[in-house]
Amino acid sequence: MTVAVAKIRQLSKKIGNKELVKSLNFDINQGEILGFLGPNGAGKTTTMRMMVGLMKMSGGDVEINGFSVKKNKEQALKHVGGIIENPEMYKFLSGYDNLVHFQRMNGPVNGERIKEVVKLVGLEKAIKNKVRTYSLGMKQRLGIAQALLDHPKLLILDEPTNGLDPEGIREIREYLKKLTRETGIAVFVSSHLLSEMELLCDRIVIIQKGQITDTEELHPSEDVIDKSMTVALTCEPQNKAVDILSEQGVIVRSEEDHLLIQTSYAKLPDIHRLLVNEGVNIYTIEKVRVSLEDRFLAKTKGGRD
Amino acid sequence: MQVLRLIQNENMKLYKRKMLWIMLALIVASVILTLVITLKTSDSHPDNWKQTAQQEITENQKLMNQKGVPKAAKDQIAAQMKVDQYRLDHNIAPLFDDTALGFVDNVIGTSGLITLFIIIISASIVSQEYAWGTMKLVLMRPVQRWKVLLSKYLSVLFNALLLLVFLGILAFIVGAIVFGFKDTSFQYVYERNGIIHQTSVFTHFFLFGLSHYIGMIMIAAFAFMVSTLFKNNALAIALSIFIEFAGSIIGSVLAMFGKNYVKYLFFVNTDLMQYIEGSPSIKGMTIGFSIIILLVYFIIFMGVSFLTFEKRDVA
Ligand SMILES: Nc1ncnc2c1ncn2[C@@H]1O[C@H](COP(=O)(O)OP(=O)(O)OP(=O)(O)O)[C@@H](O)[C@H]1O
Ligand SMILES: [Mg+2]
Repeated sequence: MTVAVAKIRQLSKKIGNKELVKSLNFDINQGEILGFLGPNGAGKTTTMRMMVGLMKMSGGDVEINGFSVKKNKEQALKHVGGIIENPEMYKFLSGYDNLVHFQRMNGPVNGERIKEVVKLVGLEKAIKNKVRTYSLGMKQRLGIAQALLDHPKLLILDEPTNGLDPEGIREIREYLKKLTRETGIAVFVSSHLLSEMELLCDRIVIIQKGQITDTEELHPSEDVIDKSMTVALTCEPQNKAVDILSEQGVIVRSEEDHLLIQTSYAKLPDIHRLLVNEGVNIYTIEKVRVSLEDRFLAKTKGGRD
Repeated sequence: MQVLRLIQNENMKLYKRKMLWIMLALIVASVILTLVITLKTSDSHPDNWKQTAQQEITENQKLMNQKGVPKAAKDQIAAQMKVDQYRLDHNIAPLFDDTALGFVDNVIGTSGLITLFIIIISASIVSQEYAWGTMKLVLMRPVQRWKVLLSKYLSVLFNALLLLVFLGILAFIVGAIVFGFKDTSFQYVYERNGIIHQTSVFTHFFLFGLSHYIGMIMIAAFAFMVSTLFKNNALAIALSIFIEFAGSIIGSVLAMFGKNYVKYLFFVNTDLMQYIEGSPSIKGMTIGFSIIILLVYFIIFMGVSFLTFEKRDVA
């Protein structure tokens, strides 16, 4: 069952007569990592700013944990942690003092909790050093630790992997996945790194020019058995295989050195058995995954500001 | 309470930087400087102050009888004579520079330095968070914006008090060690509207500090408003310093030209001491009038700050 942690309804932002965000509608569900994908200037940061009360909404509302951000910001944001754009912290304070500072804004300082989040992001060694001495990756991790301090139910991260090297990106991805798995927290994360989103997210919302153009399930779990998919098959003799499959009413297309078959998990074993029985040698069977990147580029073609 | 914790945060951010410590060092330096000047310039106080006072009266009397002395000077001389006579009549020694309390009196006269520091702190406490980019993280916490702003202003006032008390206590300790309490006077004599008054020196110090503190509350509120409005501390500092240190001159110049609105300017009303131990710089002003004017300005400064802060989108 899906429980929505946040509901974004008709959310709009207008500055002057420019509509930065136009009537967005989507939910963020418990335990999911929802990607927010769009080209530069699409309105991702603007949307997130409104969600956390940094910007006033021009229209619509955001509901988090049942509280309206517009009407009851303090309650709504009680269980939200986040980073918007760069994780700017007080450079003249130590990482630890930064965490003390932000924790004290919500309630009394709790050293145990600070230790926990520091451990979670692996900053134990440097936590007493001044943030001035931190690398970008360490700052990002401190930013995430800060966001996690008050046991949020929703984590809002604006390009958390911005400027990180592949190893840093992989680390953050692992933290986030572990986090959702272990705590059931919902994560809303923006990026224009498409490949990164594919590896991280359960679902993505695509935004262009302030409007949502698509929502994609990346890891469909239910009714996957009967879902149509494309399979690439290398076999010998290829022509014979085409004849056999066409006879059975299977949609098949012959490429230069392989066949593309439209089928489903449920039917694939039968097809396989049939071909083998008819004396066709099968070398590889591969599921063709239309890359998110291809679809994204196809959809956002010319969508850049 | 939440606001107390927020003030604690503001103080942490202030104390973990060098700025405030440099200010404290400068305050120590200014006390030392006053000490050096006192030691170098003033002769040690006379053994028999009564004799000196009597001499002064006689000399002043001669001056009064001379022709060609302007009236303003004569008024001053007359007041001086009255004070001297009062001291003799009531056996109250003057507050000599080279006694513990006289030294304190001299040092607190230099507390304009603290006003300068408070202007700098107040003008930066909001705008620096924008400059550092930390305002985003602060304002996305589940805290009402007005509480964030209030705690910043209260932290300024708290530290203003801290610096003021620090100056006073330091002056007292240095004065006590260097000069001791021999011959120090515990009574303060002053003239107001032609009448001589007498009060405890400590009351005088307290009232002086209080009046000064009220002035700081006002100029800090002004700096705070400008910096919140324009997110620019340089502008706020420059404007506030100008008003703080040129304000009274501007006031007197305008008053000289008979401008009636002068008394409604906030910076001619900030010195409440003028009513307590003297007479107002502009005729017709009373302490009640000044307090009301200050209140009105204070509400405006704070109102503008809070409204803009509450409404503003944080980019
Ligand atoms: N304060 C503002 N006033 C006017 N326009 C603005 C303002 N802030 C942002 N914009 C515009 O709104 C649009 C959306 O900006 P936003 O920062 O939300 O995009 P984004 O999706 O986060 O882009 P990026 O991937 O580059 O971070 C941009 O065209 C930007 O120029
Ligand atoms: Mg952005």
